[in-house]
Amino acid sequence: MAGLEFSGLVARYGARVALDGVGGAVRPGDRVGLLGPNGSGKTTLLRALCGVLRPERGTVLLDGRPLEALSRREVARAVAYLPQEERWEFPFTVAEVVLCGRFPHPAPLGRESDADRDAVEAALAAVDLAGMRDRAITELSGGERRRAALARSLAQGAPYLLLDEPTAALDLEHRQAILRVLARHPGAVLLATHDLDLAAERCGRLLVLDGGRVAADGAPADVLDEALLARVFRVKARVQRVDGRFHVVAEG
Amino acid sequence: MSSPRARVLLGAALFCVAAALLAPWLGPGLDAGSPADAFILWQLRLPRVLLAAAAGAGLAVAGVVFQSILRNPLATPYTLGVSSGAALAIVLFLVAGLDARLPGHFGRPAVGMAGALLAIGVTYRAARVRGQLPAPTLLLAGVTLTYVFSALIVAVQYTATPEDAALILRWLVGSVESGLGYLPPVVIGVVLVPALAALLPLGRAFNALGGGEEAAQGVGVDAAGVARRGYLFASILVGAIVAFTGPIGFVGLIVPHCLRLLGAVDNRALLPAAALAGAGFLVLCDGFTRLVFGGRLPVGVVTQLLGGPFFLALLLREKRRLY
Repeated sequence: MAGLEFSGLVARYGARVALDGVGGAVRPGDRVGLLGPNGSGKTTLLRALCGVLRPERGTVLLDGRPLEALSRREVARAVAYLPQEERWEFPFTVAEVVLCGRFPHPAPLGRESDADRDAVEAALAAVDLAGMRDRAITELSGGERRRAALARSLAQGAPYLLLDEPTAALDLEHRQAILRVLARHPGAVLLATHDLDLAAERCGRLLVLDGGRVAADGAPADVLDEALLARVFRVKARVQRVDGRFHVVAEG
Repeated sequence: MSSPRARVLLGAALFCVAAALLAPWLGPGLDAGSPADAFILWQLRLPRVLLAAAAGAGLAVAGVVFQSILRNPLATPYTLGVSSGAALAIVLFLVAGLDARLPGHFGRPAVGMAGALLAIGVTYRAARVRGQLPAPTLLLAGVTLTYVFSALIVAVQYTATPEDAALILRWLVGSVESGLGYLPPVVIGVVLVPALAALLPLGRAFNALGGGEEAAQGVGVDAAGVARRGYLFASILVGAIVAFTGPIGFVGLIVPHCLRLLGAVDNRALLPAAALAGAGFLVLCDGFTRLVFGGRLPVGVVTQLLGGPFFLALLLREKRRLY
């Protein structure tokens, strides 16, 4: 069956258990918000789903095939992973950074194809960086660098996008623009975020982790309530719905 | 490949060719009809130019490789202990008198490569944390190892005979005057060609590694595999070069940085450009020692004398723009 399916995932960093039997699935076209407090296992789950981290136990199936049976390039052509942070030491241009997203696609003698160039241009335009394509990545602001990194993930052309806090450093204008781009993405998007309103508004499904386990998995209206906020996020908060939009208002 | 990168690559190629054509004629003038001068040209200067070219190309490429994998502009064969590991192995080999006993001096590059690989192996093992290789730990381990190896070299030197001690001292400064004719450039070439064949195709992977291991893995790069291949080939290259020239400093640091400042940050262009410019740079430095010092000053001194101030000037001019 088409999708990114995972079951019984267990992962550890030293003695600390990061994932403790996590299961679920992301289907084509899904918009899934990955929520949970710090250290709940969000990043570890994203890393396991793209093969960057090999879980101690459990399986990840990409369209029915186990992830470890595929080459890294095969996985990267299907699953694009945007890590939470990255640091560029050398002054690559923005276009060169975005072109890195084309790595899993064949490039005879290392030269980019027309398809590569088109993908890079489309991705640069999508994140509003076309005018900065020749600027050094080291000269950019934090938000601009974040958009360049997201453009790299878009240029990858993968049907599954795994994004770790893609909007955290962005101003309001670009945050909204990126969310529109993600809404138009033809594949599936799994987006880890601390912004509950954003997740509830933009994602048809929320996957909530707590202590490395799935605390809830379902539509925002079914999942996001005061009991969950108290149990998982340890805050007293109300969930308001205004014009069909969710607002989480924390008290105290 | 866009034009600034293509321009740097073309410029590096022209620089390399010009240096190779010019260098044999630098130094005391040669008379075309004299057999003695013909001997100087064909048996002394030309092998020297070829050795400088091969060594410069290899050291510059090794610099790019270490810097790319570690994402650290200061990573070189020195900071990782690779040069000093090879140097210690060669010093022990020379003092043991094995060089003269083995035919054709083929033992030397083998010992140099073994020393370099041993050093990178120890650095790698020491720095490895839970399957990851954090750059700061790796650099710390490498620098520490360099100190240990350097101390051991000094210890060997102090206990050696005066003749051996003088030989070691001269070799340690770094020189392309091997006295072995065409053998060193041929042997280094035999290592250089497969090493370049293995390293040049890594340009795209090195670019992706620029944003960190995790970002590179996210686009499908086998970060650990690329690092292993890079360390292996760059280290044997350095080992083979050091065996004949001694540790020549600075080429692996300044050549890649100059090229980056000129616009070749993309490793698909930087790797070949570093090979060409590194070759040209060392050939010119060696020509300069003949021209100014009659060839008495080893090239290792000149690379640092010329390269240091030039690099500082470039850094002062460009650092605000780029780093």
